[in-house]
Amino acid sequence: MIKILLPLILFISIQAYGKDAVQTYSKVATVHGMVCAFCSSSLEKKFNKEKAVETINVDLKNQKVSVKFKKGESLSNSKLKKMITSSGFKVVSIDDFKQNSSNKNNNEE
Amino acid sequence: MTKSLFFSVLSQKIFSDRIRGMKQCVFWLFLIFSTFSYAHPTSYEGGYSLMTEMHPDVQEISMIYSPKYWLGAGVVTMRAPDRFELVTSQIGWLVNRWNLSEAQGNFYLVGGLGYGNRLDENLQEGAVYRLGAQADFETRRIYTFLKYVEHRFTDDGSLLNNQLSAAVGFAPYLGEFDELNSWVIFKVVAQNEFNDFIYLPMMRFFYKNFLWEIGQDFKGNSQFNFMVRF
Repeated sequence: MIKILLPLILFISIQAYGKDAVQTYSKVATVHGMVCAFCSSSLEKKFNKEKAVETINVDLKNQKVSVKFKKGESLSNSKLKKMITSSGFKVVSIDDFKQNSSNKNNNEE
Repeated sequence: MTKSLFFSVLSQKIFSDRIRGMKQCVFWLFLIFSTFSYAHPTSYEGGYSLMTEMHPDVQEISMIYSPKYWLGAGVVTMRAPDRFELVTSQIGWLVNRWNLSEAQGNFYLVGGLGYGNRLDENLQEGAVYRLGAQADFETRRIYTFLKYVEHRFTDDGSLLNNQLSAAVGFAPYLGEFDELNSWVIFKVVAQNEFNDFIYLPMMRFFYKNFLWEIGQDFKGNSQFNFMVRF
């Protein structure tokens, strides 16, 4: 019985760990310097060229850039930050959002 | 003669009594873009800006490419009927940008070399250099802008043209990224060694990467500017 249960428990543990390590599907960056849509349109252009990105939403009121990725795709926080700063803005923080859970990991930059 | 012909044709095409018909106006308005008061010496990384200024006193066209958001390189041509005409290269450098919570400030320097000539009785012509500085500070509600640029002959340092521009504006409502944004702008331009002044109230509208302005100066000259970044 133990011979059956042990691998089963091990298998379930691995699956549980794998779920915690699932790629995130959207990220929200808090960005300073976005004061007008005309200036911020460069972000939309830049992110829409990125293959991993499904949609991008710029929220001027709350100073947020939300990036939703295609299934199975993602970008690292450092890559995301580089894309935003190379557009001339300042990244304050980046939050990850996972598709299947409401877990939220704050990554202060 | 070739240079004069070029400027002559350009001026006539862009802003002249010889432009006939709404079709031609619309064509050129869509073909040549800019803003009189929103021209930045740099664009976004990898972006192009094609800008024009269409006013009876002075016409300007510039095309800038920005390999980085802090660097722009391109060509500028200006013509003021009966005063001067010139074409110069331009390097624009974003010296510093302040990205604040709900505000942004920028300071630019520009420089370039080219060729210019007077169209008045002096008829001086030759190599010219372009030097200038520009600063702006804006929030989602308030806009301020200040720019100085001059062109001088390289051989004796004499002034061909200089221009000081200042603008303030406010947004009557706060539009979101995917909404039409509107601004009320008031701009003052001092040129020709500060002997001539243009006072220009304008309405500015932009939607995503399209911007256009309409206004009329105190002499009754109308102005329409259009800009798109791509």
